[in-house]
Amino acid sequence: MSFDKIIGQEKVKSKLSFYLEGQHKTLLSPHLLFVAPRGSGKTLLAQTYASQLLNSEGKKRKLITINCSTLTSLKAFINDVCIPYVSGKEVTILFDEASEIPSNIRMAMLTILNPNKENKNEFTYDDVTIEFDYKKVTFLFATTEAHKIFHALIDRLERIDLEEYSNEDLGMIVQKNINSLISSEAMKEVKQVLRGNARKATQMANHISLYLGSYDKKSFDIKDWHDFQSKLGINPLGLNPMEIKILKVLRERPLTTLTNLSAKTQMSRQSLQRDAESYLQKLNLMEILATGRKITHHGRQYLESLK
Amino acid sequence: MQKKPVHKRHVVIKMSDLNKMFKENDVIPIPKGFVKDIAYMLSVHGVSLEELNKEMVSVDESETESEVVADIGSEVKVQITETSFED
Repeated sequence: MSFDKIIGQEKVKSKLSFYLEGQHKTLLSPHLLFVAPRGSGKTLLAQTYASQLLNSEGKKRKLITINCSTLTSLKAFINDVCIPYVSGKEVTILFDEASEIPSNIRMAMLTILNPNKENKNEFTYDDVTIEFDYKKVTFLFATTEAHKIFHALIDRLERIDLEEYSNEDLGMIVQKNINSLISSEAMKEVKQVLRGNARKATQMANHISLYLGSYDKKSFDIKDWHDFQSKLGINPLGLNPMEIKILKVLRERPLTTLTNLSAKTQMSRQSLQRDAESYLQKLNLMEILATGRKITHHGRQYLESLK
Repeated sequence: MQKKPVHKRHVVIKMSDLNKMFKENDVIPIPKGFVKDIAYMLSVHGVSLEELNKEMVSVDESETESEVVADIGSEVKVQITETSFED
């Protein structure tokens, strides 16, 4: 695996390549925290970085990926991760969904990752002492919610914030995952509905391949796009039905409170704020004022275009 | 018996050495603080400590043992993916 195969994220790739050059000479890599919204490829980047880290024999190190939502206790971390995979081994550990790390493991990580001249630390739990030599062990963390990670732990990590994908990058991701040709006119439409999300671009590529396969076609043009769009119910700008419903509710009054919006859409306030409003605001389709929520002129135009 | 220190308070002992001491049906007492770890390691091999203890634990000790077993049942396994990269 190499960074050449990853589209976009040029600054991030350059930074990671610099760390890799250093690791190949000194065996030391900073412990990294990858932060990005869902579907931006942070786990892929972390895995690609890990795949290039070397052990003392110049061979590629193993990667252990932990789903942090299943990491329930410090004891499990020591017994199931540290003793079998870290003690006396050369390995990279990736904490996926790192915001889910329980507080006692977070505290242990503060000791384990405490920076020092020797680049190694010891951690004792019950009667077991495990050595963490940074020339042998590198910790990577990936999360969408960096604010939930303890600040002292963030201080011990090198933070890697992924850049937003441009529409051009997303188009390249779609094209890279399809063996057939997409006309430029169709590609222009495809890019508009990907919501800036690399995972959506890969999913879209899979759906288009499925469409082409089922109609035995070799290329995808604008006529195919319109047919594909109506079959899958894809809305302009990639909005989902709930987001469109929110815009319709907002259109009914000059100002709407979050409570009222919640009652009318039957979505919780948190869900509205977290899952729906941010994308609508990003596209300038709605705005949030001190007195309430409001549809924008652009939002009204969007609803008109659906008729 | 070959012993090799690994941690400050641990030594490793070869299984082949231990096998000289024990027969197949021997019963070994295990410190209670270590029961959960053993049970977990055995469960990976499809062996339940609960079943073994039903046969072997004496009646007056069964209450304590069942508490441990209930605790064992509540353990959630950490989801780990191991990836090797070919050179």
